[in-house]
Amino acid sequence: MTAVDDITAGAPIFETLSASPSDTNSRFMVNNWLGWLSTCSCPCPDTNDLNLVEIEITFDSEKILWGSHTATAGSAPVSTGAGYTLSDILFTISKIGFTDPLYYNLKASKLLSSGLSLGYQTYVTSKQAVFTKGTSVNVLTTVNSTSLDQLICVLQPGVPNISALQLFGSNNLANAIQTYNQVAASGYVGQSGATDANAVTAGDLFNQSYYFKSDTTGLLASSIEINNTPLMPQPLDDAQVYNETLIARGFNRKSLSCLGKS
Amino acid sequence: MSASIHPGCASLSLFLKYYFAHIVSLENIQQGDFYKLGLDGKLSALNIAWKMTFAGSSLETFTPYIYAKCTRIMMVNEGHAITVVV
Repeated sequence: MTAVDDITAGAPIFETLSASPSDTNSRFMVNNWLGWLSTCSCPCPDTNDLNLVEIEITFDSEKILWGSHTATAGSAPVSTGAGYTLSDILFTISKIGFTDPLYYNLKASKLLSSGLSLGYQTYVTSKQAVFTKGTSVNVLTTVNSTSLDQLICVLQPGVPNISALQLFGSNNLANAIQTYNQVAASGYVGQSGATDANAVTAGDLFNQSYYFKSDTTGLLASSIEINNTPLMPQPLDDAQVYNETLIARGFNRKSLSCLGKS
Repeated sequence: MSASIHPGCASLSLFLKYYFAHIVSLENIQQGDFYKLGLDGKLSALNIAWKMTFAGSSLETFTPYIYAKCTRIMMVNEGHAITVVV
Protein backbone atom coordinates (compact mmCIF):
# COMPACT_ATOMS: atom_id res chain seq x y z
CA MET A 1 0.00 0.00 0.00
CA THR A 2 1.36 3.39 -0.97
CA ALA A 3 0.52 6.58 0.88
CA VAL A 4 0.40 9.85 -0.99
CA ASP A 5 0.67 13.26 0.63
CA ASP A 6 -2.25 15.45 1.46
CA ILE A 7 -2.39 17.76 -1.51
CA THR A 8 -5.65 19.53 -0.84
CA ALA A 9 -4.03 22.41 1.04
CA GLY A 10 -1.14 22.72 -1.35
CA ALA A 11 1.27 21.56 1.33
CA PRO A 12 2.81 18.23 0.36
CA ILE A 13 3.45 17.04 3.90
CA PHE A 14 2.64 13.64 5.31
CA GLU A 15 3.37 14.01 8.99
CA THR A 16 2.36 11.89 11.90
CA LEU A 17 4.44 13.47 14.60
CA SER A 18 3.50 17.10 14.80
CA ALA A 19 0.83 18.59 16.99
CA SER A 20 -1.45 18.83 14.00
CA PRO A 21 -0.86 15.66 12.05
CA SER A 22 -1.89 15.43 8.46
CA ASP A 23 -4.23 12.53 8.99
CA THR A 24 -7.00 13.53 6.66
CA ASN A 25 -7.24 13.68 2.90
CA SER A 26 -4.49 11.10 2.60
CA ARG A 27 -4.59 9.08 -0.56
CA PHE A 28 -3.77 5.40 -0.65
CA MET A 29 -3.37 2.96 -3.45
CA VAL A 30 -3.31 -0.81 -3.20
CA ASN A 31 -1.05 -1.96 -5.99
CA ASN A 32 0.35 -5.18 -4.58
CA TRP A 33 -2.30 -7.88 -4.44
CA LEU A 34 -1.86 -11.35 -3.05
CA GLY A 35 -3.70 -14.48 -4.06
CA TRP A 36 -5.61 -15.11 -7.26
CA LEU A 37 -5.45 -11.56 -8.57
CA SER A 38 -1.65 -11.45 -8.72
CA THR A 39 -0.55 -15.08 -8.92
CA CYS A 40 -2.99 -16.57 -11.44
CA SER A 41 -1.04 -18.73 -13.85
CA CYS A 42 -2.91 -17.11 -16.73
CA PRO A 43 -1.92 -13.44 -16.94
CA CYS A 44 -5.21 -12.41 -18.51
CA PRO A 45 -8.05 -14.75 -17.49
CA ASP A 46 -11.26 -14.20 -19.41
CA THR A 47 -13.89 -13.13 -16.88
CA ASN A 48 -16.61 -14.14 -19.35
CA ASP A 49 -15.76 -17.74 -18.44
CA LEU A 50 -16.07 -17.06 -14.72
CA ASN A 51 -19.42 -15.29 -14.69
CA LEU A 52 -19.73 -12.50 -12.10
CA VAL A 53 -16.44 -11.83 -10.30
CA GLU A 54 -16.74 -10.24 -6.88
CA ILE A 55 -13.79 -8.79 -5.01
CA GLU A 56 -14.43 -8.59 -1.29
CA ILE A 57 -12.05 -6.63 0.89
CA THR A 58 -12.22 -6.75 4.67
CA PHE A 59 -10.56 -3.94 6.58
CA ASP A 60 -9.17 -4.38 10.04
CA SER A 61 -10.29 -2.58 13.17
CA GLU A 62 -9.18 0.85 14.35
CA LYS A 63 -6.39 -0.86 16.31
CA ILE A 64 -4.14 -0.56 13.26
CA LEU A 65 -3.94 3.19 13.85
CA TRP A 66 -1.34 5.07 15.84
CA GLY A 67 -1.96 8.15 17.89
CA SER A 68 -0.21 11.48 18.02
CA HIS A 69 1.66 12.48 21.15
CA THR A 70 -0.26 14.07 23.99
CA ALA A 71 0.33 17.25 25.95
CA THR A 72 2.35 15.17 28.42
CA ALA A 73 5.35 13.59 26.78
CA GLY A 74 5.44 9.87 27.34
CA SER A 75 1.78 9.37 28.14
CA ALA A 76 -0.44 7.21 26.02
CA PRO A 77 -2.31 8.84 23.14
CA VAL A 78 -5.99 9.45 23.61
CA SER A 79 -7.71 6.88 21.41
CA THR A 80 -11.31 7.05 22.57
CA GLY A 81 -13.57 7.04 19.56
CA ALA A 82 -10.71 6.45 17.16
CA GLY A 83 -11.65 5.26 13.73
CA TYR A 84 -10.94 5.64 10.08
CA THR A 85 -13.04 6.12 7.01
CA LEU A 86 -12.34 5.35 3.40
CA SER A 87 -14.14 7.34 0.78
CA ASP A 88 -13.96 7.72 -2.96
CA ILE A 89 -12.96 4.09 -3.41
CA LEU A 90 -12.36 3.13 -7.01
CA PHE A 91 -10.74 0.36 -9.01
CA THR A 92 -8.84 0.49 -12.23
CA ILE A 93 -8.55 -2.73 -14.21
CA SER A 94 -6.53 -3.35 -17.33
CA LYS A 95 -8.58 -5.01 -20.02
CA ILE A 96 -7.03 -6.85 -22.91
CA GLY A 97 -8.87 -7.65 -26.13
CA PHE A 98 -7.68 -9.78 -29.01
CA THR A 99 -8.74 -8.81 -32.51
CA ASP A 100 -7.71 -12.19 -33.89
CA PRO A 101 -10.39 -14.82 -33.06
CA LEU A 102 -7.71 -17.52 -32.74
CA TYR A 103 -7.40 -17.06 -28.96
CA TYR A 104 -11.16 -17.29 -28.40
CA ASN A 105 -11.48 -20.31 -30.65
CA LEU A 106 -8.72 -22.15 -28.85
CA LYS A 107 -10.21 -21.29 -25.48
CA ALA A 108 -13.69 -22.42 -26.52
CA SER A 109 -12.27 -25.72 -27.70
CA LYS A 110 -10.46 -26.19 -24.41
CA LEU A 111 -13.58 -25.33 -22.41
CA LEU A 112 -15.62 -27.92 -24.25
CA SER A 113 -13.03 -30.64 -23.74
CA SER A 114 -10.98 -30.78 -20.56
CA GLY A 115 -11.74 -27.32 -19.23
CA LEU A 116 -9.39 -24.53 -18.25
CA SER A 117 -6.92 -24.96 -15.43
CA LEU A 118 -5.93 -21.81 -13.59
CA GLY A 119 -3.26 -22.20 -10.94
CA TYR A 120 -2.88 -19.64 -8.19
CA GLN A 121 -1.45 -19.22 -4.74
CA THR A 122 -3.45 -18.36 -1.68
CA TYR A 123 -2.80 -17.89 2.02
CA VAL A 124 -4.57 -19.90 4.71
CA THR A 125 -4.45 -17.90 7.94
CA SER A 126 -4.43 -19.48 11.37
CA LYS A 127 -4.85 -16.99 14.20
CA GLN A 128 -4.09 -18.53 17.55
CA ALA A 129 -5.18 -17.72 21.07
CA VAL A 130 -3.32 -15.17 23.16
CA PHE A 131 -0.19 -16.65 24.72
CA THR A 132 1.92 -15.39 27.60
CA LYS A 133 5.59 -15.27 26.77
CA GLY A 134 6.93 -18.29 28.60
CA THR A 135 9.97 -20.49 28.48
CA SER A 136 8.23 -22.83 26.05
CA VAL A 137 5.40 -21.98 23.66
CA ASN A 138 3.83 -24.50 21.29
CA VAL A 139 1.51 -23.34 18.51
CA LEU A 140 -0.46 -25.91 16.53
CA THR A 141 -2.53 -25.70 13.38
CA THR A 142 -3.76 -27.92 10.56
CA VAL A 143 -3.75 -27.33 6.81
CA ASN A 144 -5.27 -29.32 3.97
CA SER A 145 -3.38 -28.84 0.73
CA THR A 146 -1.86 -30.74 -2.15
CA SER A 147 0.84 -28.08 -2.40
CA LEU A 148 1.96 -26.36 0.79
CA ASP A 149 4.51 -23.88 -0.51
CA GLN A 150 5.51 -21.75 2.42
CA LEU A 151 4.90 -21.29 6.12
CA ILE A 152 5.04 -17.78 7.57
CA CYS A 153 5.03 -17.54 11.35
CA VAL A 154 4.70 -14.12 12.98
CA LEU A 155 3.41 -12.58 16.19
CA GLN A 156 1.14 -9.71 17.11
CA PRO A 157 0.83 -7.97 20.49
CA GLY A 158 -1.71 -9.78 22.65
CA VAL A 159 -3.47 -6.48 23.42
CA PRO A 160 -2.87 -4.24 20.41
CA ASN A 161 -3.99 -0.94 21.88
CA ILE A 162 -3.59 2.24 19.90
CA SER A 163 -0.20 3.54 20.86
CA ALA A 164 2.29 6.07 19.62
CA LEU A 165 4.02 5.51 16.34
CA GLN A 166 6.89 3.12 17.03
CA LEU A 167 9.39 5.41 15.34
CA PHE A 168 11.93 6.91 17.74
CA GLY A 169 10.83 10.22 19.20
CA SER A 170 7.25 10.04 18.00
CA ASN A 171 5.94 10.55 21.53
CA ASN A 172 8.53 13.05 22.64
CA LEU A 173 7.30 16.62 22.58
CA ALA A 174 10.78 18.05 22.68
CA ASN A 175 11.92 15.87 19.86
CA ALA A 176 8.78 15.81 17.78
CA ILE A 177 8.40 16.05 14.05
CA GLN A 178 11.05 13.55 13.14
CA THR A 179 10.52 11.56 10.02
CA TYR A 180 11.93 8.11 9.40
CA ASN A 181 14.68 9.53 7.23
CA GLN A 182 15.70 11.96 9.96
CA VAL A 183 15.89 9.21 12.57
CA ALA A 184 17.78 6.88 10.24
CA ALA A 185 20.22 9.61 9.21
CA SER A 186 21.03 10.36 12.82
CA GLY A 187 23.02 7.17 13.10
CA TYR A 188 20.48 5.77 15.49
CA VAL A 189 21.31 2.19 16.42
CA GLY A 190 18.51 1.26 18.79
CA GLN A 191 17.46 2.28 22.25
CA SER A 192 17.60 0.12 25.31
CA GLY A 193 15.16 -0.06 28.17
CA ALA A 194 11.89 1.88 27.86
CA THR A 195 9.63 -1.15 27.82
CA ASP A 196 6.63 1.19 27.77
CA ALA A 197 5.85 1.89 24.14
CA ASN A 198 4.72 5.39 25.10
CA ALA A 199 7.86 6.35 27.00
CA VAL A 200 9.69 9.44 25.81
CA THR A 201 12.74 7.43 24.89
CA ALA A 202 10.78 4.59 23.27
CA GLY A 203 10.88 3.78 19.64
CA ASP A 204 13.33 2.54 17.08
CA LEU A 205 13.45 2.55 13.33
CA PHE A 206 10.12 0.75 13.11
CA ASN A 207 7.96 3.26 11.24
CA GLN A 208 4.66 1.55 11.98
CA SER A 209 1.97 1.26 14.60
CA TYR A 210 2.08 -1.03 17.63
CA TYR A 211 -0.47 -3.33 16.00
CA PHE A 212 2.10 -4.64 13.52
CA LYS A 213 4.89 -5.24 16.02
CA SER A 214 6.09 -8.84 15.89
CA ASP A 215 8.02 -8.97 19.15
CA THR A 216 9.99 -12.07 20.13
CA THR A 217 12.52 -10.35 22.35
CA GLY A 218 14.20 -13.00 24.46
CA LEU A 219 13.73 -15.74 21.91
CA LEU A 220 16.25 -18.55 22.30
CA ALA A 221 15.04 -20.95 19.64
CA SER A 222 12.30 -21.48 17.10
CA SER A 223 11.44 -24.65 15.23
CA ILE A 224 8.70 -25.86 12.93
CA GLU A 225 7.43 -29.41 12.62
CA ILE A 226 5.08 -30.94 10.06
CA ASN A 227 3.42 -34.21 11.05
CA ASN A 228 5.84 -34.48 13.98
CA THR A 229 8.84 -34.21 11.66
CA PRO A 230 11.14 -31.23 12.34
CA LEU A 231 12.03 -29.25 9.21
CA MET A 232 15.50 -28.63 10.66
CA PRO A 233 17.56 -31.11 12.68
CA GLN A 234 17.76 -28.70 15.59
CA PRO A 235 15.85 -25.60 16.73
CA LEU A 236 17.13 -22.40 15.15
CA ASP A 237 18.46 -19.44 17.09
CA ASP A 238 17.71 -15.83 16.13
CA ALA A 239 20.45 -15.51 13.51
CA GLN A 240 19.51 -18.82 11.90
CA VAL A 241 15.84 -17.88 11.79
CA TYR A 242 16.77 -14.61 10.13
CA ASN A 243 18.86 -16.44 7.55
CA GLU A 244 16.11 -18.97 6.94
CA THR A 245 13.65 -16.15 6.39
CA LEU A 246 15.96 -14.42 3.94
CA ILE A 247 16.37 -17.63 1.94
CA ALA A 248 12.61 -18.23 1.83
CA ARG A 249 12.07 -14.70 0.53
CA GLY A 250 14.52 -15.23 -2.31
CA PHE A 251 17.56 -13.49 -0.84
CA ASN A 252 19.71 -16.60 -0.95
CA ARG A 253 23.13 -16.31 -2.52
CA LYS A 254 22.92 -12.54 -2.63
CA SER A 255 25.20 -9.98 -1.09
CA LEU A 256 24.11 -8.77 2.33
CA SER A 257 25.51 -5.33 1.71
CA CYS A 258 23.44 -4.11 -1.19
CA LEU A 259 19.81 -4.52 -0.18
CA GLY A 260 19.69 -7.90 -1.83
CA LYS A 261 20.44 -6.49 -5.25
CA SER A 262 23.56 -8.39 -6.17
CA MET B 1 21.73 -6.72 7.86
CA SER B 2 20.87 -4.40 5.01
CA ALA B 3 19.45 -7.24 2.91
CA SER B 4 16.55 -7.39 5.28
CA ILE B 5 12.83 -7.01 5.37
CA HIS B 6 13.00 -3.25 5.86
CA PRO B 7 15.90 -0.76 6.08
CA GLY B 8 14.88 -0.14 9.70
CA CYS B 9 15.74 -3.75 10.52
CA ALA B 10 19.29 -2.72 11.32
CA SER B 11 20.25 -5.46 13.75
CA LEU B 12 19.19 -8.84 15.03
CA SER B 13 17.80 -7.23 18.17
CA LEU B 14 15.50 -5.05 16.06
CA PHE B 15 14.56 -8.10 14.00
CA LEU B 16 13.45 -9.84 17.18
CA LYS B 17 11.73 -6.78 18.60
CA TYR B 18 9.71 -5.60 15.62
CA TYR B 19 10.10 -7.61 12.46
CA PHE B 20 10.24 -11.23 13.59
CA ALA B 21 9.09 -13.73 11.01
CA HIS B 22 10.05 -17.38 10.78
CA ILE B 23 9.46 -18.26 7.15
CA VAL B 24 10.28 -21.63 5.66
CA SER B 25 9.89 -22.52 2.02
CA LEU B 26 8.71 -26.00 1.06
CA GLU B 27 8.98 -25.53 -2.68
CA ASN B 28 11.70 -24.97 -5.19
CA ILE B 29 12.49 -21.28 -4.85
CA GLN B 30 12.12 -19.89 -8.34
CA GLN B 31 10.63 -16.92 -10.02
CA GLY B 32 8.88 -16.57 -13.32
CA ASP B 33 6.99 -19.60 -14.56
CA PHE B 34 4.18 -21.12 -12.54
CA TYR B 35 4.81 -24.50 -10.96
CA LYS B 36 3.03 -26.58 -8.36
CA LEU B 37 5.92 -27.75 -6.27
CA GLY B 38 4.87 -27.58 -2.64
CA LEU B 39 4.45 -30.30 -0.03
CA ASP B 40 1.57 -32.66 -0.88
CA GLY B 41 -0.55 -33.71 2.06
CA LYS B 42 -1.71 -36.80 0.12
CA LEU B 43 -5.38 -36.22 1.02
CA SER B 44 -4.46 -36.00 4.71
CA ALA B 45 -4.22 -32.97 6.94
CA LEU B 46 -0.79 -31.48 7.53
CA ASN B 47 -0.30 -30.96 11.25
CA ILE B 48 1.96 -27.97 11.80
CA ALA B 49 3.66 -27.23 15.10
CA TRP B 50 5.62 -24.04 15.77
CA LYS B 51 7.71 -24.31 18.90
CA MET B 52 9.39 -21.33 20.53
CA THR B 53 11.70 -21.19 23.52
CA PHE B 54 12.27 -17.96 25.43
CA ALA B 55 14.95 -17.03 27.90
CA GLY B 56 12.40 -16.58 30.65
CA SER B 57 8.77 -16.01 31.45
CA SER B 58 7.21 -12.57 31.39
CA LEU B 59 3.80 -10.97 31.59
CA GLU B 60 3.99 -9.96 27.94
CA THR B 61 1.32 -11.52 25.76
CA PHE B 62 1.19 -12.16 22.04
CA THR B 63 -1.01 -13.68 19.41
CA PRO B 64 0.75 -16.04 17.00
CA TYR B 65 -0.27 -16.18 13.35
CA ILE B 66 0.65 -18.94 10.94
CA TYR B 67 0.11 -18.21 7.25
CA ALA B 68 0.21 -21.25 5.00
CA LYS B 69 0.91 -20.31 1.40
CA CYS B 70 -0.68 -22.96 -0.81
CA THR B 71 -1.03 -23.52 -4.54
CA ARG B 72 -4.52 -24.29 -5.75
CA ILE B 73 -6.01 -25.07 -9.12
CA MET B 74 -9.24 -23.50 -10.34
CA MET B 75 -10.94 -25.68 -12.93
CA VAL B 76 -13.24 -23.79 -15.30
CA ASN B 77 -15.62 -25.76 -17.47
CA GLU B 78 -18.36 -24.87 -19.87
CA GLY B 79 -21.36 -23.09 -18.41
CA HIS B 80 -19.39 -21.25 -15.74
CA ALA B 81 -18.87 -24.48 -13.82
CA ILE B 82 -16.00 -23.76 -11.46
CA THR B 83 -14.31 -26.09 -9.01
CA VAL B 84 -11.21 -25.53 -6.90
CA VAL B 85 -8.69 -28.30 -6.30
CA VAL B 86 -7.32 -27.75 -2.81
